[in-house]
Amino acid sequence: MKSKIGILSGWRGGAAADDKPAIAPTGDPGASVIIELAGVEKTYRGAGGRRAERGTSFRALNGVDLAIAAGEMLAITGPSGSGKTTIINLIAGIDRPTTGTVTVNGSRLDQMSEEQLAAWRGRTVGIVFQFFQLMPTLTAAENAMLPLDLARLGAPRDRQAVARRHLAAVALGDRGDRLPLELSGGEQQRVAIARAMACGPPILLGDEPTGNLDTAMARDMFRLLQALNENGTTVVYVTHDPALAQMASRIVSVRDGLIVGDTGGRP
Amino acid sequence: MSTLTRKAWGDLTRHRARTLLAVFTLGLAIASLGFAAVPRLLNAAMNRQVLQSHLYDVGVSTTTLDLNSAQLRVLGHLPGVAAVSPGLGYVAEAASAAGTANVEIAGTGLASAPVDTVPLLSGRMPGPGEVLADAANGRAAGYAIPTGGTIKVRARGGALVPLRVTGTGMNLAATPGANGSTTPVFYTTLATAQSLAGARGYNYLGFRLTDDTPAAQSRVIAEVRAYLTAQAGTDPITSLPATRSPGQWPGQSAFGRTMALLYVIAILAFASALFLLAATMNTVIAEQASEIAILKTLGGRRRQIGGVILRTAAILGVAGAVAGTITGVAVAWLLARYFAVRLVDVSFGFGVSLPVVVASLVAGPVFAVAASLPALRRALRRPVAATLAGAETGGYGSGRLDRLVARTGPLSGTGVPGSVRMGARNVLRQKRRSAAAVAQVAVATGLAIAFLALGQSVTAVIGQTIGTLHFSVGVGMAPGQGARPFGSRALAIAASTPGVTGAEPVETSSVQYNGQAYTAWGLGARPLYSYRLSAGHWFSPADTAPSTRPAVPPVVLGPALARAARAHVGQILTLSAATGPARVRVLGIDTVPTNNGGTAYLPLPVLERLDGGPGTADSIWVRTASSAHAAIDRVAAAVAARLAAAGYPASTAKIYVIDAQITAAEKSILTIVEVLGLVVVAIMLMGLVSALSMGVFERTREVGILRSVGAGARHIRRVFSAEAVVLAVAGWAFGLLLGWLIYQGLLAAVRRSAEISLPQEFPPVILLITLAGVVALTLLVIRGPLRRATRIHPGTALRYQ
Repeated sequence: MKSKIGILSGWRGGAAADDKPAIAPTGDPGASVIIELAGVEKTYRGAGGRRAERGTSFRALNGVDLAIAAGEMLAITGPSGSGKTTIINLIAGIDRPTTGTVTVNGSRLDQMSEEQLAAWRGRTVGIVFQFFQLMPTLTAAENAMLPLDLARLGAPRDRQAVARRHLAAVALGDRGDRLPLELSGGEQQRVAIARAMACGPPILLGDEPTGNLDTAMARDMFRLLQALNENGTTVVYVTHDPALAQMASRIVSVRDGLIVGDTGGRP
Repeated sequence: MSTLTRKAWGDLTRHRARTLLAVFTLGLAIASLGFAAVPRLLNAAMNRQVLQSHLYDVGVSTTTLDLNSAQLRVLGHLPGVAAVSPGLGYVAEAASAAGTANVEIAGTGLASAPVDTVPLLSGRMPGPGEVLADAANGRAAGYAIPTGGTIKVRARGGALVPLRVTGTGMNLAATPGANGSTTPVFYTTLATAQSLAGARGYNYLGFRLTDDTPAAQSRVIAEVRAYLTAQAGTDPITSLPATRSPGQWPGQSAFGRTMALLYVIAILAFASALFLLAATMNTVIAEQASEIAILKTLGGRRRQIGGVILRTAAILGVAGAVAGTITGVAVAWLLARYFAVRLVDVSFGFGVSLPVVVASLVAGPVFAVAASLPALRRALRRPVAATLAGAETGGYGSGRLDRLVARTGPLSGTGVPGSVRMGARNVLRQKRRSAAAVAQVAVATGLAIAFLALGQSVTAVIGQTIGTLHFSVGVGMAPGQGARPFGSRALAIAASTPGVTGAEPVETSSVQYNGQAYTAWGLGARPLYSYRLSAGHWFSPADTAPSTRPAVPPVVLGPALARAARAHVGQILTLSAATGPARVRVLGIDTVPTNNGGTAYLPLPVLERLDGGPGTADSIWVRTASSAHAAIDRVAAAVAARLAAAGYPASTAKIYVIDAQITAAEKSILTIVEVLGLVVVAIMLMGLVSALSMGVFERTREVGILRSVGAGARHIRRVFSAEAVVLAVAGWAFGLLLGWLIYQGLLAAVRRSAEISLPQEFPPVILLITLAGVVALTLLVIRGPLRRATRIHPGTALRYQ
C-alpha cells in the first residue's frame, strides 16, 4: 500500500508544487502553519441552511482560533451542531466567515472571489464527503480525473493515466469503467479519495469520511488517510467516532461554536 | 389544520422556485385551452357587427333602375321581405395623395339605411360632395386616405370631381378584405353617387328577410326578379344574387380555414404541455420517496399518504388553473382581436368565453391530480427499506442505456471535455422529463418545418396562377348608366392602342352549382390564359363561334369545381346563371388553381347568353409589348382614355398590381399562422426552460460538489448547456418526421376546406434553418437557468436537501 501511496502522491501539479511551503512531518517544531483561522465567527441565516424567516439566525462559530501545521493529521470532534463541518467548509473555502480571517497555504480565503476560490480549491485542497458525492454520470476513472480536467493539468491522455494510477493506488484499478451505482459504499469512498488527491493537493479534508462505512471499511479508509499523511499531506477530518479520532496526532474538540479542547496546542 | 394537510402546504413552500415552475407548466397547458375560445369570441363580435350593420340576407345587382318610392315600398313589402335598401355603386379611377387607383363609390342611405347600414367609426357623416372612407382601405387595399384628405374621382362625364373624406365607416357587405376585394371603398350619399355616375336610380338592392333559410331566399329572389322584370320590361339582374346563410359573416370562410390550423396547433400545445406536466409531477413526487417511506414506517396507510401527495397536486392544480385561465383569457382575447382586425377591420371589445373559463378552472386540478397518479402509484409501491437506504447517486447507471453511453461512443473518451460529457449524460437521468422536453422541442420544430414548407407551397401556387395569365392589363366595363359592353369596335380600339400587342374580349361573371357560387369566365378558343388540363380538351373555334348555339354548351371546370361536382369529361351538369338554370357538358378539367380552383370556363358567346346577352363581354384582356410597370401603366391609361372617348367608360386592373395584392393577402394568412405558430413555439421553449430549471434545482448539491473540486462558472455553464443542446438536437431530429406529417396534414386541410391543391415544396434548406433556429433559441432561453446554476453558493448547495 505504501508504494502505491507513493504513486498516489507522486502527481504534484507544477503550480501546486510551487505554492507549497516546506513540509515537515507532524511534531516537528520547525513545521510551518499551513492553515490558520483567526477570530472566526460564522452566522447562518435560518437553521440547516434553509431560507429563514426574517430575524432568525444561527451562530455556528463564536470566535475560533486554530492553527494547523503542515503535515499534521488533525481530528475535529464534537456533538452535532457544534460547528465541526463549518470549520471544514471554511478551510475549504466553501463557506465564508462572517468575521475573522482564514488563511490556507498562504492564501487569504476571505479576500478571494468565488471563481478564484474554485480554481484554488482544485489545486490546494482535496475534500472527501460523508456521502461520497461522486458525479453519478461519470465512471470511477472519470470521477478521479475530474479535478485534473477542471484545472487543465497535463494533456487529456496523461490525465486519464494519472486517474487510473490513483485508482490502482486505492485498489480499484480494475473498476475504472464502473458507474458509481455499480460500486459499493467503500469503493465509492475510495474513488472519492482518488478524486480528492487527483491534483496532488497539500491538504486533504474529510467531513465524516467514514460515516457511511462499516467498521472494517472505515478502518481501511483510515489507513489510506494515514498513509497519505505519512507522505506529507496535511489531513484534517471530522469524526464522531472516538476510536477514529484517536488515530489522529492531534484532536480538537468543538462545542457550541468554540474550541473547548486541543491535544496538540500547536502555534 | 391536520398535520398531513400542513405537510401538503409545507411541501409547496419548501421549494418555492420549483413550485412556481410546476404552476407555470400547468398554467401553460391550461392557457392553451384558451385557443378554443377564439371562435366563440370572434363569432359573438361579428354577429354583433352583423346586427349593427343590418347586413343583407339577399343582395341583388341590377342595371341602373330609376325606382320611385312607391316601387321601393312594394319591394319592401314583397312576401318574405322585412326591409329593403337601394344603393348605387360606381367604380371609377381616383387620384389622391395615396396615388391613382380604381375605387368604388357606394351611394347608400348610410347610417339610416335599414339594410347594409354604414355605421360611423370616426369623424362625421358626409354631406353632398363628401365621402366616408372604409376603415379597411389602408390594410386591405393599400389606399388609406386620412380624414380631411381629398380624392378626385373621374365622373361619368370625364371630369375629376374632388371629394373630401370626412371620416371612416364600414359596411360589412362592401368592405374590402373581408369580401376578398382589394378595391378601396368610399361611402357617400345617394345623390353624390348619382351625380358622379351621371345616373338616376340604383343598381343594387339589399334585402333583409323575415325567414333567412335558403328556400325562403330563393323565393324572395324569384319574387324580386319577377317584379323588377315587370317594371323594367326585361330582367335587369346582372349577376347571381348574393345570399347570406344564417350566422354567416364576410371573411368567415378565411377565418374558418385558419381556425382549423389553430385547433391543430392548440391540441399539439396542450398535449405536449400535459406531457411535461406529468414529467414535472413525477420529479416532485420522486423527490419525496424517502418521506413517503418514513410515513409508512410511522403507520401511514397508502390512502393517507397518497392523500397528502394528491392534496399538494390539487393545490398546485388550482394555482396553475388560475394562472393559466387568466393567461388563456388574455391570449384568447388578443388572438380574437388580432383576427377581427386583420380579417375584417372590426373593433373588438374585451370578451370572455364563460364555458372555456369554467373548463379551464376545472381542468387545472383535475390534470394535476391525474398527472400525479402514475408517479404516486410507483412511489407507494417502493419497498420501505430500499427507499430509506436510497442511492445518493441519483439512479443513473441502473439502465443498460446509461452504462452503454458511459462506456462506449463519443461520450466515453477524452475527446469530449468532462463537463460536456456530464451534461450530455444528464439527459438520461430523468428519462421521462427529458422525453417530455424532447417532445416539446419536436412539436415546435415540426410546426416550424410545416409552416415554412407551407409558405413555400403558397408562394409556388401563386407563381403558378399568375403565370398562367398572359396579359398585362384587364380592362373592365364601368357599371352605371351609359356603360356599354365591349363589342368588336371596343376590341379594335383597345388592340390598336400603341404598346398593345394583343387584346381578347372576356366575360367575367358567376354561376352557382349546388347552392355554391363559382366564378365564370367566357373565353375564346385561344385565350390569353394558359390552361393545364388533366382530362378532356379546350374549346375549339367552332365552340366559340358567335353563331354557335348548342343545346348543351361545353364547359371546362377548374379543379375545385370539378371535385365538388365529382365531374368527369362528358358529364352533364346544371348551373344557375343570371338568366336561370342551364345544362352544360363537361369538355375538360383544368388543374390551374385560378380563383381558388373554382372557375367555370365557358365559350364567350355561351356565357354572354347566360348573362342575358349577346354582346355582354365586360372585359378586354390586353397584352403589352413591354413588361415594365411604367409602360404598362401608360398603356392602361391610354386604353381607358381611348375607350372612354369612344363611349366605352372603362376601368383598368394591372396584373402586376393584382400579383402584389394576392401575394400580400396570402402572406397575411401566413402571418396569422406564423403568429399562432410562434405562440406554440414559445410554449414549447418554456417547457425546455422548465425541464432545465428542474435539473438545476435537483443538482444544486452536485453543483456545490463541482465547485468544491475546482469547477468554475464556465464549467457549470458547459454542463447544463450540453444537456440543453442534446435535448434540443434530439427534439429537432424527431421534429423532422413530425414536421413532414404536419405539412401533409396542412395540405390536406387546405385542400378540403379551401379546395386548393397546393404543390409539395419541401426544400432541404428548411431542415438546416430549423436546426440553427432550435439550437440558437435553446441557448437563448436557458440563460436564466444557467445564471441560477452559476450563482449557486457551494456552501449553501452542499446543505441543500
